Parts: sequence; C-alpha cells; structure tokens
Amino acid sequence: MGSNWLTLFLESFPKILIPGLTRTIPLAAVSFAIAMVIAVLTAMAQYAKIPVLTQIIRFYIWIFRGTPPLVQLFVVFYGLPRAGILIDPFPAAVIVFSLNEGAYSSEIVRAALESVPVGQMEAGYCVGMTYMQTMRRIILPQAMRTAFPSLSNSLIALVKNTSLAANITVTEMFMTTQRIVARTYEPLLLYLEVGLIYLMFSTLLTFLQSWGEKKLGAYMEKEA
Amino acid sequence: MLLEARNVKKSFKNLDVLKGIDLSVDTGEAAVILGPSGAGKTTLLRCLNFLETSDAGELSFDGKIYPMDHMSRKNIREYRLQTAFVFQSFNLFLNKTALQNVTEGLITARGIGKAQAEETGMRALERVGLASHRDYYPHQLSGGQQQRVAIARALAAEPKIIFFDEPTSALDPELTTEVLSVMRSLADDGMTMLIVTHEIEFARTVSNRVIFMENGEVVESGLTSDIFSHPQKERTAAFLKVESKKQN
Repeated sequence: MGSNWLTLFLESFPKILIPGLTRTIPLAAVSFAIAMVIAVLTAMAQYAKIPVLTQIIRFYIWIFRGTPPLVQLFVVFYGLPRAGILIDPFPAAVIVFSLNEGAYSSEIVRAALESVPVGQMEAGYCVGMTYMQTMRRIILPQAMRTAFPSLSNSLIALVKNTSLAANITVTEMFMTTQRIVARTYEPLLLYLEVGLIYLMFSTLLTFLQSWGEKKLGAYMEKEA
Repeated sequence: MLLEARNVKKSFKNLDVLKGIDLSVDTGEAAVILGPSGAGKTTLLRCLNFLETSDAGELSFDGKIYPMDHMSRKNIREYRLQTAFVFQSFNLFLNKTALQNVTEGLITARGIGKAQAEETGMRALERVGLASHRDYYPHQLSGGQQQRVAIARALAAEPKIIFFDEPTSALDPELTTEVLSVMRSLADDGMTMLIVTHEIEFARTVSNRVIFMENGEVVESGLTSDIFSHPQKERTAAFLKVESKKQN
C-alpha cells in the first residue's frame, strides 16, 4: 500500500503541476495584472472625487464585493449565453477574477492614497508640477508602497481562488486533480497533494513579497 | 513692486480669516509677516500661492495682474513656476533623496535635462551646506537638515520670490539656528522673500519690511527699522515688547 501511494504521488505530481503552471498561474497573473489597472484607475478617480464616475465605481465595488465569486463565475459562463454572449471558460474566469479582485484592490489603493500626507501634493504644486505629475511621481509611488503588503495578500488569495474556475470547466490544477481522483479513487492522497502544490505557490509568493517590500521600502526603512 | 496684493479676503464657513489684506513686496526685499496666532498669517501666505482660493483679491506680480478669486489653472501654474514655497512641516517628497527632492521640479515641471538639473541641484544643496547628504532620504535627515533641503529645493528653481511659512516652528531650538542662518545669507544675497515667522530677533535683524497682522487685518506695516524703533500702533508696540521678552 505504502509504495503504491508513493508511486501514485510521484506519477500524479507532474500531471497536477503542469496545469498549475499553464493554467492556474497564468489565470492568476493575468487577472491580477488587469485588476491592478482597474484598482489604480478607480482608486484615483475616487481620490479625486470625480462626480458621477465615483458613484459608478462605488456601485461596481458594491456589486463585486457583495456577491460570491462562484456566483459571478456562473453568471458570466452559464448565464450570459442566455443573453447571446458566449465566452470561453478561461477568458470568462479572467473577466470575473479581474473585476472581483479589482473591486477589492481599489479600496486598498484608495485607502493608501488617502494615507499620503496632504503636504506631499502641496509641495508638488509648489515646485510647479501639475496634479497628474505629482500623482504619478510622488503620491502613487508612496501609496503603492503602503498598499504593497495588502495587495500581495490579495494575490496569494487569488492564486488559491482560481480553483473555483474548475466549476466552469477550466482545466486548472484542481479540476485536473478531480479527474485523477475519479480514475484512481485516492481522494485523500491526491487532494493533499494538490493542496501541497498550492502551498508551494503561496510560499514562493510570500518570499517574493518580503523581497519586494525590502526593495520598495528603501526610503521608508528606519536607520539602525 | 514685485508683488502687490490688494483686498485679499478669505473666510472658512462663517469665520472671516482675512478681511481685506493689502500687502506689497519689492524685489530684493525680505518682508516679514508678524502677528499673534490666529491672525491669518499662514492663510494669507497660502492664498498668495493659491494653495487656498481667496474669496476676493487682486494680485499684481512682476507686471502681470491676476484675479485671486478666479484663477485659471494655467495662470496658477505660470505663477507658481516663478515662485517657491517653504513649509512649516518641510513637506519633502518622502520617496525621493535630498538631491531628487531638489531636481524633481526642475525635471518634471520644467523639462530640464537630468544632468543639468543635477548640476543645479548640487549647487543648491551646497548653498545650504548639504551637498554631502545628496543621497539621504528625508527620514534620514534631522528636521533642520530637512528644512535646509526644502530651501535648496526652493532655490533651485531660481524663483522671483520665496514664501516661507513659519519655517522654524516645527524645529527644536538648537536646529532653528541653522535654518535661520541659511535664510539670513539668502537675504544678504538679495533674494526676495516673504516670511511668516515668530522669530522676532530674526525679523528685526534680517528683514527690510514688517507687516503686522491681527484678526485678519494688517494693523501696521512699514520699514523694519521704523516699526521696531517707533511703532505707530499701540497693538504693534505691545506685541513686539512681549514677543521680544519671550525670546530673550
């Protein structure tokens, strides 16, 4: 029995890892990149209190933070075809995770923007810079440094949440594992195994996070 | 006159902070605004650089007339490129080194090349005695050093006037001296400055002109020597007496 388990573990490892590298990671990476663009733009619009746009953004955030991502996936993948909109599984997952993550990250970035002292913007004006110049060169870099740990957490959560995409037939790591289980009837071993691979990914990201924090934080580190 | 403001008014909610201020600063002059806390000195200075929008007022600067209550963005920017502002709380860019703080405006706002901006920036840092601190971030500098970098940042743009908003109020007494001595040497070089301060001795020995404010109004203004030797208003005399005693 023991040696059978070991063999199965070793045999299935690459079979699970490969969709991890070709599906799970790209899904998380692409979604997160789009989410960051959404987050920064919507946070800046809210920070600037642009009328109407701010209300639209509040509405968007309200919807996406207030409903489960699984429901969002089902609406986009199984629901929208009823309205004549057919989207392939992978792009459907990208759309949902981008919008969902964008809504959460928007709030993180907005709070970080608001934590930058008002004097930084005033100083920018006084050396002749425009609002957008000061935003890009002074305010946003400081805000992103503040937001970095929270955003890293969000990324790690997103990597794990991509397993939900199995429900809309994206053959990522978790779905692949389910298929192997159906064939081998070894749920305990295989689900632990896929959990282990998620853990590896998360651990790697945690290391990247502390490396990134160090690199970004040069101007914030207190002297010894 | 380089700068002449007329009838500057500003109120916050129902509180009239500035009740129609007239003020002028000539080229090469170091003018000082004195007055008790709550007189409206800082608000006036912020209105003069459009960090606050005045409710009324007209500003003539270097031959051009600006309406203070409805300035276009373009006019504000054009004006700010000719002026500089030193804050009470320094407001150095926290994500930039000392040199980058000085060059940021030159490069980003004025489109000057990096090499030339750094050369100008280093000269400005030398001027305030901090050339050796070019690569320090603000948090690595003392308050006095931060304020000197802020002065270098102001100088680098070669402004026609520098506004100082209580530049030493956030500093320990022993750090005040280094900032005041930099400002003194700027005055000696004929830099035009408008300074809000509580440093009576500095005002007496360095400035050419004093504007004494109270309750949002100019009580008295004139040449420093006149104001200090024979103030016309009782209120001015009383203020100078009390403040001088405090600092001795």
